[in-house]
This record gives sequence, structure tokens and C-alpha cells, in this order.
Amino acid sequence: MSTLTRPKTEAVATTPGTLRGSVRVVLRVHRKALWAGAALLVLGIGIVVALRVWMASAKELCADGDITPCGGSVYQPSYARTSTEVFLGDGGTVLLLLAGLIGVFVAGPLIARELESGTFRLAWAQSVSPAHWLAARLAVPAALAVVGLTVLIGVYRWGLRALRGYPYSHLTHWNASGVFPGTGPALLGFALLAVAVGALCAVLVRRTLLSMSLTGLVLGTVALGLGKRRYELWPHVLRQGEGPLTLSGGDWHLDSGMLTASGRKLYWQDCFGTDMAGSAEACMRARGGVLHFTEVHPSSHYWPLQLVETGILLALAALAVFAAFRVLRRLHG
Amino acid sequence: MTGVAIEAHGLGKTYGRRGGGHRALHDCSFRLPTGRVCALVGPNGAGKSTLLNLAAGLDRPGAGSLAVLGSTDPAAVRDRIAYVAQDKPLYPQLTVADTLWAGAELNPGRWDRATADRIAGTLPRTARVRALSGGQRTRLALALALGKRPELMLLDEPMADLDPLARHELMGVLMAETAEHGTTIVMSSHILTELEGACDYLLFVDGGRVRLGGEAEDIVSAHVLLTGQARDLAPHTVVESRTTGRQLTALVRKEGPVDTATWAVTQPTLEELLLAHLRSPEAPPLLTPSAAAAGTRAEAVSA
Repeated sequence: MSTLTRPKTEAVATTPGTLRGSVRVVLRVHRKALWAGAALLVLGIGIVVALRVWMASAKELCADGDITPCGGSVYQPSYARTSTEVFLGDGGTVLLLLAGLIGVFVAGPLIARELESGTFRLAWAQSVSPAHWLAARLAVPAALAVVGLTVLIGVYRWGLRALRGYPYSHLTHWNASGVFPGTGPALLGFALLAVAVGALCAVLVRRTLLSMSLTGLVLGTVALGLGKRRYELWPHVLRQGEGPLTLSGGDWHLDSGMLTASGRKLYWQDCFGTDMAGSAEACMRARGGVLHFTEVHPSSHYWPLQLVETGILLALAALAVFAAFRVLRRLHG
Repeated sequence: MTGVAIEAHGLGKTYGRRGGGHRALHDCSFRLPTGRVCALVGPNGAGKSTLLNLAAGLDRPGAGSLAVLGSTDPAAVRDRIAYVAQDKPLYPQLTVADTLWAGAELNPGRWDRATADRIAGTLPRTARVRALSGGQRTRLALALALGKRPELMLLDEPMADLDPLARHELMGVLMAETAEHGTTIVMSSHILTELEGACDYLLFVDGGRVRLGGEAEDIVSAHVLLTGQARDLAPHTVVESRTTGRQLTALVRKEGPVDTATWAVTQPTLEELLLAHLRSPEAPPLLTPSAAAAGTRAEAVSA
């Protein structure tokens, strides 16, 4: 204190250190949220472990999960098995909600609340540039979301594996809209998009509740939209044959009908309702249908579909991040 | 210490949308030399906070240019500037100790822990910021500001929440700081008496521009209060005049020797001077040579 020499300031001494400092301050300021996130992670793991333990303790007499004598005319799954199916059948949706929650947190408490209450000026009046301030608020949730959700994806897949290979398990098909989003990298893409959209809404709106709601709305739209149009992300397979086609266990059935001699597609639904008394096939034949066809995604399409979806989400996330920095820069330099 | 801490040319800032926007600063030009303790005074809504916000690099001017500590982009030298905004922004959920720790984290290579600890003084280190009183928050915000060892301190209404004793104490700290390190300090207030005596420099902002700028003494001595029965005040610039019966009382800016035979001459106080200017928005601005931005016109008169 007693020295008159001023600390030497190198040209831009702010660059490397303040990002690290900002990250540590973000972690300290939001310590409670961090604990809550860790608690959710443990809860998620705990639920799956509990379901598996419950299923393992069920008195299944056969390899197919039957609790009545093997080979009998009655098939009766255990209560543990049916409950697990119901719970895990919505696991993907729950994980999507969790990823969305991270985005809403970024939009509200992490960024917009600072902009609204003025605490951003605390950081900016220290040696932290707005860009570093925002970067820290993107990097921390993004990194934690990727790590945490990767663990949960692994646990979820491990839980689903217990249901694989049993007949009559229809709720946990790989393509089910409540399962698919939670089993692969698309969830990580969605989480990163959630963080990016949260940040963009926050710097645009600068109001805690409003930007949280807006983020929820945008993410909900994206999630629902993907759920509805996911089958279009990869070209489906067309199977055709003389008689009605049977689906194999892993197929994701999209639509089916009959082909005319010229190759035009007639869908069954076109013949429903026209003449309920007559058989649908007769109606199709009357319209010129000669061959049965069905459009499916075989289970081998799981990875292409996951990866294309991940790619789209990451591209959107990158756009949102870019826009967020642009907005902040335009407003504050 | 002959450097320039802040230099503004035709600075403008408008809030809100074009057309219906509120013009907080308009064609504002001045210069503040380094090493000064400057009072930034003016009525509410005069543009004081806007000016400090711009100087701290938190906002960008809508028009004109602003150089701070030699940089035309104040944001680029933010590590050399300390800024305490009017509402004393602090993270309410952090403790006092955590806030000081955050100061060190956010100012790598600059943080002076001993100073910050000294300013924070008796604040209970384990108390959360949300539990602190207004005065305690101010003290903590100042500890953060001084801990980064700034070359320029911008304090927006620093005294508002402090009791007289704390005010006195704070002034002592700031004076020691500027004496020891040559720190330039700008303090805003709408109550002049809070700052009078502590500050040797004055920027009087009103209506979005600087109307009086320079060494407080020079500004005061450039004006006189004339009382007499004559009517002709030429060649002096009249700031404000008032007639009571046959008696004319006028606050004028001297433009030459004052005729002491006709007038009873008294020296106005700084407060009288500011009040007179507030009541007379059309009085021309006065910037002493040290406060006139380089290259700006004749409004700079020698005091």
C-alpha cells in the first residue's frame, strides 16, 4: 500500500484470467442450483436403479418374463415389469424436460436476472468484458449439462436394456417419442440448444420471468416439432410384396398401403370411411392397387436419425449463441 | 500529473426508441485532468449516471466520442477503471467474504487484497449481502472498487446511504487514495454540500450537457454577486438578475474589471452559483481551460 508504484498493466491483461475467474464466480453464486442439479442427477440414477432392482426381485418364471408357468396358455408379466415399462416409456420425455429446464435456468436466474437487477454491472465494472461474462454463463451450464445428461443417457439405456427382447413390450420401442430423445446424442444437442436459446432470450428480453417463459415456449415448440417430424430426418425404407407385409420387431412403421401398376401410392387411410361395409383391400384394388407396400424405419436407422437430429440442434444452438453475442455487443460494445 | 482522465467531444446518448426517446446527454464536451477529485453535480435526471455509465464502458455513446485514460474505447481499459453504480450492484446470495473473493477472481493480476480488506473493515465476513444495510453495501461496493487499484474511480451517488460519520470516513479513505496513488475520482451527487470541500474539480451537468467545468475555485472566482442601483451590467455575462425595489442584484460572470464604485461586490458561494445556473437554463456554459475539450470553441474563457 505504501508503495507508489502502480501495478503494471500489460496491454490486455484481462484476456485469459477473467474467463476463469468468471466461471468460478458463476459456480459460487449459483451454488444452490448446482446442488439441486446434482440432486436431480442422483434422483434420476436412483429411479432407474430402483426399477431394475424391483424387476430383478419379481418372481418371473420364464425367460420371457412370464410369472405363470412357462409355456402355459396364459402370459402374465409381473407388476414390476409393467410399471417399469410405463415409467421408462416416458424417460426420454423426462430427460428432454430436464434439458429444457437447464435452458430456462440459463434464461432466468443466470443471465436475465443479472441484467434486470443490475448485478451484471458488478462484473463489467470489474475487469470482465461483457463477452467473457456471457461466455462464462454459457460454458458452465453447457459443460455441466453435457456431463450430467451423458450419465443419465447411459443409465437410461441401461434401464431400457432390461426390457429388451421380451414380447409384448411396446411402450419402450426405440422410436417411441417418449424414449428416442433420451437415448442418444440428440439429447445433448437439445441441451446445448436450450442453453443457447436461454441466453439469447435473456439478452433480448432482459426480464427474468419473461425470458424464462419465452425460452420454455421456444424449446417446447422445437421438442414437439421434432417429435412430430422426426421420421423425415432420414429417408425411410419402402418394402413391397404381393400379400400383406409383416413388420419385424425393430421396425418403426410409418405408413402402408398399396401401389398401383404405375407405382402411385394408395394409403389405407384413403379407403377408410369411404365404404366401411366393404373391405379396405377391395376398395384399394378397385382404385388400381396391385402390390402391398409399407414404409418403415428399420432399427438400423436409429443412429442416422439420432445424428441428423443432433446436427440440426447443434446448428441451431450455434446460431443462437452467435446471435446472443451479437445482441450483447450491439448493446454494450 | 498532467494526463487526461476523461475527454468527451459532442457526447450524446438517447434512451428508448428514436423519436420518443429520452435524450440523456446531448452535445456534451469537457475534459477532466488526472489526479483530480471531481464533483459531478446536477439535478435529478441531468445525465450524471449516463455519463458515468459511458465513462465506465458499460454503454456505448449514441453520438460523439469519449476517451478515458487515453483510450478511445473505455471498455478496453475497464481493468483500470472502478465504477460503483448508484444501486451498488452486488450478488445478494454471496457472503461478504465471498464477494471479496469474487473481486480477486474478477481482477486477476490487479487485486489488492489488503486494501479491499481494510475498506471492508468491520463488515461481518460471514453475513450475506442481502442482509446488509444500505451503508454496509456501499462500503462493500467501495471495497471492491478500491481493491482493483483503479486509476480512475467513478462513484455514482456514493454518499446517499451513508451516515455523516461513515461519509467522513469514506472521504478520508478516498483522499488518502488519491494522495497516495494519484487516483482520479469522479463522484456524482445532486446534493452539492455532500461533496463541497472534498472536491477540487467541478462538472456541473444540466439538461444533458456540461454547463460549468473546471477547478472549483476558478469557477467560483469567475463569478461575482453585484448589488446596486445601476441597471447596466455590461460587459459582464449575466447569469441571473433580480430587482427588489430600486435595488438590482445580479450574479454575473466577470468579463473585465468590476466597477466597484457602482456595485457592491460579494463572492457567491458555490451553491449560490449552481442554484443561479439552475434557475437560468439559458446562461452560457463556462469551461476553464483545463476542462475544455481540445479543439472546442470559445466557450473556454480564462478564469
